Parts: sequence; structure tokens; C-alpha cells
Amino acid sequence: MEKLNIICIDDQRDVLAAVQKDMLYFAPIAEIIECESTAEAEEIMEELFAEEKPIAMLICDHIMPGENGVDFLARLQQDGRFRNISSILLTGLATHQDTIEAINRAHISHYIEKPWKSEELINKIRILMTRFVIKSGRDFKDYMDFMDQNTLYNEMHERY
Amino acid sequence: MIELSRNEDYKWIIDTYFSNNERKIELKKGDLLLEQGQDNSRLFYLKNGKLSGTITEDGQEEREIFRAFPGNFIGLHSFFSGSFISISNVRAMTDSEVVFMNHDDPLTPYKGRTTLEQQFMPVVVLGLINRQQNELNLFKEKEATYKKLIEHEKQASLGKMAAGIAHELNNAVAVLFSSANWLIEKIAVYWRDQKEAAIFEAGLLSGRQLSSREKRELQKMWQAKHNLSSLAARSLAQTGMSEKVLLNLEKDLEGKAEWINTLWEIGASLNDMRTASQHATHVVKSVKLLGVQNTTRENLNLNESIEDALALLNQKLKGIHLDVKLNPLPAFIANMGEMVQVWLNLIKNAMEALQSAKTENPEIIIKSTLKKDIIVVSVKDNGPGIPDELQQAIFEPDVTTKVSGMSFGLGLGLTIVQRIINSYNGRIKLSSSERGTTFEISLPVEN
Repeated sequence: MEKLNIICIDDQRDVLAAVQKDMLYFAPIAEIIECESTAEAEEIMEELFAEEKPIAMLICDHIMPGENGVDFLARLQQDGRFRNISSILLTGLATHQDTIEAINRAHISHYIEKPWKSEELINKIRILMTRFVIKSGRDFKDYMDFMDQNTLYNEMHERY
Repeated sequence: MIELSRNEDYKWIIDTYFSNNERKIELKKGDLLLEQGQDNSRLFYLKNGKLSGTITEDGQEEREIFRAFPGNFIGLHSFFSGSFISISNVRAMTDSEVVFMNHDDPLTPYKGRTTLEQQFMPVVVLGLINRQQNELNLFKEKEATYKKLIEHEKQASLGKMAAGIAHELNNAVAVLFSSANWLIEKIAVYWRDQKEAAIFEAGLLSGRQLSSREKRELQKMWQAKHNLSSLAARSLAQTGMSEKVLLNLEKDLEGKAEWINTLWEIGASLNDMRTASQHATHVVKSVKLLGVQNTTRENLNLNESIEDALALLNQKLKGIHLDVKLNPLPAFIANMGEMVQVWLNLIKNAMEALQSAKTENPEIIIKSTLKKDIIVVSVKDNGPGIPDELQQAIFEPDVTTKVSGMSFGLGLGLTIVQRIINSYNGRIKLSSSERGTTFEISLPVEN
């Protein structure tokens, strides 16, 4: 089984550690990569792309020094290589306008407010991971323990 | 006030009908001249003093309807309407002098005008105009009072709300804080040996010191040098514990990596909880201080007010190198909220200057020192500086060098800083060049 990659971005180390801890749930099927800025994340993504390693998920904070989360995700939309990565915006402070932009411009897959519940975050990512596995043509049996059954059923149903 | 006294018809009336000393009445302050509903067939001319006319309606408070000043006439209504009943209570607001004429006084012919109405037209007009103006003034006064009242109410309820929220939050945070501390104290009992205790303590005391990059480097080292699986290497790298320490503690690192990581994480998480709740307490305290209209001055440590301001800005100051040197200070009698506002403004200005200029290696240096009897606090940034021509103007309201800025809804600015500092007999010194700006606040310590 090929390991997938989940990238977590937050400038605050304690918050990043908390996201990372929740993501360890997926450790058997994915590498969890922590980044403290969007620049760092971009660097990692370039590396992963060069090594032909699959990036399944981005979990991104919004308010950060330097580039903010929505701008970063919107920029990725312009890049054909990264357009299909699922993204979750995890934020404690977003205006109404930010939220609209996040959906329209950055095409985020899901929006979660801080403080979040581990279960909610994990369940959401299970759904997104399931879609990623199916869409990228991987054998879902390899990842079975981490797939969302409903999503799996619906995706398969649509396909065949 | 309309200038009718120069009008010759008016003058003639005064000279003719209101110059008889036998008809002069002297009023002491508070004396009643006319009573509402009582007979009155006199017209009064106010020579000196000030009168006030009020009416009382059933079950309602007395209400003022006019004020009369020297040169004004009183009793116009009863005199000219033919009712001969006073519509108001007329009282002397100060010691006053009035002269009156009776309704049945014989008239002196004037310019062919023989009736009362013809001769007194100017008086009636003057009375109307005065009352209109009076009413307008009263209305304006009331409007201003009403506005003030609403503003007070708003601030009071905002303050109450802030205090209420602060109270609730503080309770919640207090539970988190003391629970974290309790866990830290009690959990030590459960470690099976010194080794476990040491790993826990490493997490608790050092916390998350490594950046994500450094952790990745460490992970690579563990994988390459010690032939660990990526998961084990990652677990160990997360702790940031050194190669030497870990090798000393444990022989089977591959097998124990996850356990080591868990022990360390328990310590680090408790540390996070403690730090985060302290931060929350700080923020709540500062917001409360700013929200409530509180002007009481008490003995306080100015360093604490600087820390409060920094706690409020914490999130926004990321990416800026902060150098805070707070030296011991004597107690200073001040209002905490005001002092926090001062530092908040100065630090925020520095921060925004650095951010808008995209200064490389942005830095803010905050220093507090005692020089003889004067507390000196300086806030220095390495931003682009303030242009010479603006250096005087920035203290004036509505002058800004910024395009936009966040605010706590307090209309912040250097004007406020200056007003507050002045009220403490303090001084503000500004020095600025292309290499940066320094604001230095000097506050004399009172004995």
C-alpha cells in the first residue's frame, strides 16, 4: 500500500501539535506533515510532487503572518498539479467575507471552527480521504479501515 | 436675541408705560410673580434679573416653558388674549426688578395709533420671537442631555456585558488552569520508573521548542543513523529530545518510540494547557479593563500593564521579533485600563508600521526603567520612520500614517496616548529616522 500524505499548517505550535495529534489516527495509511507557514507547506508539496508521492489532504489555518490560509488555497487552485487536493480550513477567526472567499475562490472542501472536536475532524477527513482514494483510482481495500462506508458506497454507485 | 430695544416704537412704549417707579416690583430669588390659573390683568416689563415661566399639568412635574431676560415682557398671554388669567407660574431665578402696567391704564396716542393692539405690536412680536427661541434652546439642551444619556447607557451596558463575559470566561479558564496544575502534580505518582518521569518532565518543562523543519531534520537523523522506521523516528523527533539523552534512557528505541512520544506529549500538553489558560486569563483581564468605564487610580506595577497590552496583541505580533526588557519599577498610582491603552497604542503603531512597510527582520524593543523618580518606558521599532513633516501632526486627532488598522472600537490613537500621559504629568518624546521610531514615555512617580 502506498502511503498518502496529510499536510497540517498552523503558525501556532501548540495548535499545530493538537491537529497533528488528531491526525495520528491516520498514521497507518498516511504521513502526517506539520508546517508552520504556507511557504513551508509549498516547499514540502514541491518535494512530494517531485518524488511522485500523493498528497491527499491539506488542513490549513487562516490567520497567519505572511500569506493567509485562503490566499494560499486560492493560489493552489491556479496550479494544475495541486488543484484536486482536498482542503479543510481550520480557523478561530474568519469574517463573513473570508468565509465566502474561502468557498468561492479557494474551493475549500470543508470549514471547521476552532476549537474543534477530534471526532468531527476525523470523520470529515475520513469522508474526504475516501473520495480521494476512489478518484485517484487506488484500491480502496488497502485503506478499508479508514474509509467512510457511506461515501464509499455512493462513490462506487456513481462509478459503476 | 432680537434687538428690538433700538426700535423706536419699542422705546417709546418703555418710556411711556414702564418708567413709573411706583409701579416697580422688586423680586427676591425664588419669589412668585404670577401663578398659573390666577387672575392677572397686568403686563410686566423685566428691567433686571431673570425669570422663569413654568406650567404644571395634572399629575405631572412642573415644566419650564420660557425664560425671560431684561427687556422681555411677561404676562403677554393673559394681557392680550383677553382671558386675564395667567397661563404659567412665573418665578424669579435671581433677584429681579419688574415694572407693570394695568390693562385699563389710559393710553397715550402715538403716531395716530390709538388702540392697545396697534401700539403694542412690537412687544407682542418680540415676545413671540423670544419664546420661540427659548423653546428651541430648551429643545437643544434636552436633545444633548438625551444623547449623553444614551451614550452613557451604551457604555454602561457594554461594560456590564464585558464584565459578565469576562466573569464567565475566567471561571471556565480557572477550571482548566487548576485542573492542569492538579494533573501535573498528581500524575508523577503513576510513572513506573525514573525513566518515564524524566521523559514526562522533558515535555512539561521544555515544551514545544522545535520548529516543524527542525523536527523533520531530527526524524531524518533517527531514520538514517539509527535505522528506525519512519513512524518511530517521527515519534522520537516530535519530542525534540536529544539523541544522547534518548540513547541513554532506552535501548529499544524502535519498540518504545511511541510510548516515549506519549509520555512526552502528556507533559507537553499539560504545559500547553497551562500556558494557554494563562494567556486566556490575560486577554480576558485586558479586555475587561478596556471595556469598563473605570477611572479609579490605584497602586499598580506598570510592567504588568505592559504585559497585559502584549497579551492582547499576542496573536497580531507574530512574525515580529519582540525584545521586552522590564526592569523592576516602584508602584505607580494610575488607572490600569488607561495604561494598557497607552502601551497598546504605541505597540500597535509600531507593529503596523513594520507590517505596512514590510520591514525585513521586523523588531520591536520595549523597555521599562526607573531614572531617579521617573519611570521611563520606551517602544522602539526598526520600521521606516515617521516623515519629519508629520512628526508634530501625528498627535492631532484624525491624522494618520496608516491606511487601515484594527481597533478595539475605542477610537485609539496617539491623541488618546497624549491625553492620558498628560493627565499623569508625563511626557512623550518621539525620535524617528529611516532606521526606526522610538516613543519614550516619562512618568513622574508621586511621593
